Amino acid sequence: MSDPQSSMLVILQNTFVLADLHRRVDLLQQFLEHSFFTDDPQKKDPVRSIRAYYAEADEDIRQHVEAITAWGPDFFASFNARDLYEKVKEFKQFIELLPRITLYVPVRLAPSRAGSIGSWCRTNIRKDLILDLKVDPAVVGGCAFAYEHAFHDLSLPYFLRQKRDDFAKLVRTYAA
Amino acid sequence: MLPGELFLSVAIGLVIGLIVLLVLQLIASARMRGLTDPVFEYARMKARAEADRILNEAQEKARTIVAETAMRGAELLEEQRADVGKRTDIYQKNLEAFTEHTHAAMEENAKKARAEQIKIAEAIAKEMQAQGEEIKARVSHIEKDLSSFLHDAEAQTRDIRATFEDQSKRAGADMKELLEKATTEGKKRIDERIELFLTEARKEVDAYREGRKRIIDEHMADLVAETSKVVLGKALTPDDHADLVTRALEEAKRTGML
Repeated sequence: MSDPQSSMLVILQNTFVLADLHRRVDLLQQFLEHSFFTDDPQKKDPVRSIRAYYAEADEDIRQHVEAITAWGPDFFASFNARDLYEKVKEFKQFIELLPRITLYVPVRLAPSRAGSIGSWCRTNIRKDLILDLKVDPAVVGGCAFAYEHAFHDLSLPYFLRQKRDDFAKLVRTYAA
Repeated sequence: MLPGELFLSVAIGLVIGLIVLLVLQLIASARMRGLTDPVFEYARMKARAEADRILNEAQEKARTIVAETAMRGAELLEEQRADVGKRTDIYQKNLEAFTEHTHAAMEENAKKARAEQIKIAEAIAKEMQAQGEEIKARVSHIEKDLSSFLHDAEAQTRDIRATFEDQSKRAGADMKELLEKATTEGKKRIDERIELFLTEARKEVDAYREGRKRIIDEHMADLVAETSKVVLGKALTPDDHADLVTRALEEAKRTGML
């Protein structure tokens, strides 16, 4: 697992949203700096050590940390003090090259739901796809997305247009 | 003494002399060593002491450098932590500002949608009211025409009846038959005119109804969309929104957009 591509594949196994991906890489880097450049008493057990390091952080960060611990001890063992920054740099370059779908949603979604949608995209569109979520209240009743240089709006007006005839019949029924 | 014996004696004498000199040299060397050993020992001890002092000083300096480096490292770490804390605060503030801005934008959109909805509803109501007034005026006009026609027809009937009564008085039974015939024709003409007016009135009502349907058809989708936006934007939970997002993506997959 020494090459960045293999490490990134491990990260992508439980990371579906672009913002989460950046956040987790940053948290990992911060922890590894602590582990390599200070007297970390739990250095030999990185999973326990990262939990202890972020124990006082807020709930959001601790959820990310739990996701990071799932990457396993072998993943942590692939880093060392000499090539840490080089690897992080390669991670970030790799992230920029990932195929992505920009999804516009009307409200901020819970992390679990965002993850489910990202998983759906990996299953049904492309297995290495990353989800770039953006909030736009105008797309209420559905969503809009940009993928492979095309934009599609599947919000409420789209579904209403599909049901236009049904609405017309309904109104005529009441108007008659 | 032969020359050979002389040469041998000289050679032996030289060898013996050399041996004696060698022994004397060894004795002299032993005496010199006995005199110089303490000096060498002193110099060696002094050199060792100097080397120990230099080594101790180097070790002391190394310890000092290590300690200073550790302290500087701790200071840098603390500064980094403080910097991260500041950045986290700035991030939180920016996030709060963005959330407020988003909330305000959503409120503004809802207000606009509500205003647009009211505007559309008012436009429909106004147009319907205008058409209703127009129809009412036409129906009223038709009623007046009909009333006038009936009045005229009654007057004509009365005139015909009077004429025929007069004639009957003069012409007797034959005139009665003529009177009945004229009455029947008059009634038939009245029925025809009534039927004509009713047909026109029905056409007007149908036209009004079609016009109203057309207006509703044209604006209904916009009205429903704007109303639903206002209602759905507030009534749905984030989980409901997530379900709708998934449904939209499934639709996109089904229709080949993805």
